[in-house]
Amino acid sequence: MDNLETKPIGPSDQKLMEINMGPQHPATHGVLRLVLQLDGETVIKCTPVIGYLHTGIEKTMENKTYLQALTCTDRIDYLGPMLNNFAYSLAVEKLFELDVPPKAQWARICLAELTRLNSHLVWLGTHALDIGAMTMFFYTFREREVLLKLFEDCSGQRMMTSYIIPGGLYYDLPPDFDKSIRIILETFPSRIDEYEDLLTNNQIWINRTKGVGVISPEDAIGYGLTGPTLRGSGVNYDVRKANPYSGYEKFDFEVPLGSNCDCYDRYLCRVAELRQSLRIIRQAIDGLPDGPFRSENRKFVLPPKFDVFTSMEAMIHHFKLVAHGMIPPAKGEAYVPIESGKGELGFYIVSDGTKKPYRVKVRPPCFINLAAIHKMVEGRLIADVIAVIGSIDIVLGEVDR
Amino acid sequence: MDSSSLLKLLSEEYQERVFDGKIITDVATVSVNPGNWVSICHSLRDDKSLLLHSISNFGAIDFREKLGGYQIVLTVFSHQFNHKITIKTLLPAKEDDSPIVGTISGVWPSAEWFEREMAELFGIIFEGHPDPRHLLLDDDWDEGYPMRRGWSGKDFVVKPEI
Repeated sequence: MDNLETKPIGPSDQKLMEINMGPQHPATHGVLRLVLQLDGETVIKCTPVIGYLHTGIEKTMENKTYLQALTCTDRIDYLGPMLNNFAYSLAVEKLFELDVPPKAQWARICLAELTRLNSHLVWLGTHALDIGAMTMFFYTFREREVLLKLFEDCSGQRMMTSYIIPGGLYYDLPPDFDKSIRIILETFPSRIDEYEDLLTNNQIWINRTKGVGVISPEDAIGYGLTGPTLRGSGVNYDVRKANPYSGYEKFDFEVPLGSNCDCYDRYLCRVAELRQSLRIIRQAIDGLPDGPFRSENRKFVLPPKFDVFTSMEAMIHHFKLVAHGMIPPAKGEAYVPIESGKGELGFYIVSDGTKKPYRVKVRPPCFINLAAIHKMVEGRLIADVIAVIGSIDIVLGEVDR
Repeated sequence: MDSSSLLKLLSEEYQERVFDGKIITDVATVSVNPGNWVSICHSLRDDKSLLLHSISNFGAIDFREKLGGYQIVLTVFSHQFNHKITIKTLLPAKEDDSPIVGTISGVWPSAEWFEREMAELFGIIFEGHPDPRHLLLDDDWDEGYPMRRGWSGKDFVVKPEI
């Protein structure tokens, strides 16, 4: 590994300097290292170095049963655990040809949008903190606490939820779910106004983000960017609209688009997405049907925990599924993309007809978005690198897996 | 364009290079020979009726036991038409072989990182890759290729089957 000392590069270009930004740097959102070649304060070349958080999650998932592998998905993008659970569950359901009851489908959309709020709130707080607007961090984490409390009520966990499982949800929704959501729907719009009051017309914020980190729509498409990072460049692609899954086609919402392709537009897109998410949550909670929260296909789906203690059959099913795992009906492969907080997320699962997946390939949006960072920072000042890292919203757990 | 008409178009236009066309989870999927890998990628990207300008997913599968090699699976996407195509190729390999295939990082720039990842984790050599360094693993990693089936490392223990 290179040492961290600054050094001139060769005799011909004495003026250039190579420095390491990260891996331990508060503004790189984890352990990202950027090797920057600088001419004064201008970035000539930017080379990301990743892998500090590589834990071999794909390999681990190959060695777990389908149900056990679900717990690995929480740890990929730890700011949007339910979205990961959701993407994995959809792929497994496709593989097992499982139907999901309507209540679970609506609840999943509600939870996915709450998770998107969570993910965007952390992004907004840390991005603003990086650029110097410290107050935002406290404000967004105050709101995030409400969401984490709700996740805890649902699943028993604040972050590693594993709540959306193949076939439905792990537990039924908590009794005061509706009430908690109504409180969120009531309080959040004014909170988002508060964020916008602090930032949207703030001259320092505009100076730091407008015209910074520009990536043209052609480059954004060529590099395979997705999510708000792509939509900030004005390309209308949202998986929820393009290939609706789990009933998103029934919901009425808009896809916010930017036009200037810079950090400021990506900020505006995400803030507008916060409002759209609230809109979807409102529709989901209003239309939440009654009924079972999990498929009743006992061949593949765990029986409710209460039944395990009271019914012999449920006990046997539970034992079989936990000890022997679920075996897919046929060999094959499945991939279902979803729109996560960061972009298109999906799990490409290959089955060889045994209880463990033969191969799980994650399509990590942050990994692909990060690969285009040099396009956004080269030729700009070193301070802009911080703004750009924030604006592409990376989670190193997902980049490195 | 929907998957079945895409599949029809692919098997007519590129009939000498693609085979084994089918629809897998709503995506038109075709196979090609490793020798045609780079050329078919070039043609698909430049095809005005497809406009496949971005990579959606790109990965490898170790099928040495079942098919006698590594399969690489590439899914490409068109924003204009909102359609996807998956292309597969099987790189024949025996026990510890490192199969060789041409790089497509000149076709789609985002392939570069995917290929670096596959090179270090599966030991596939991408000929002509502009930056063949390790991506996720340490620069001085010397414990083989972790994503291969049956790989064992210092700290990696597979639990016995129940």
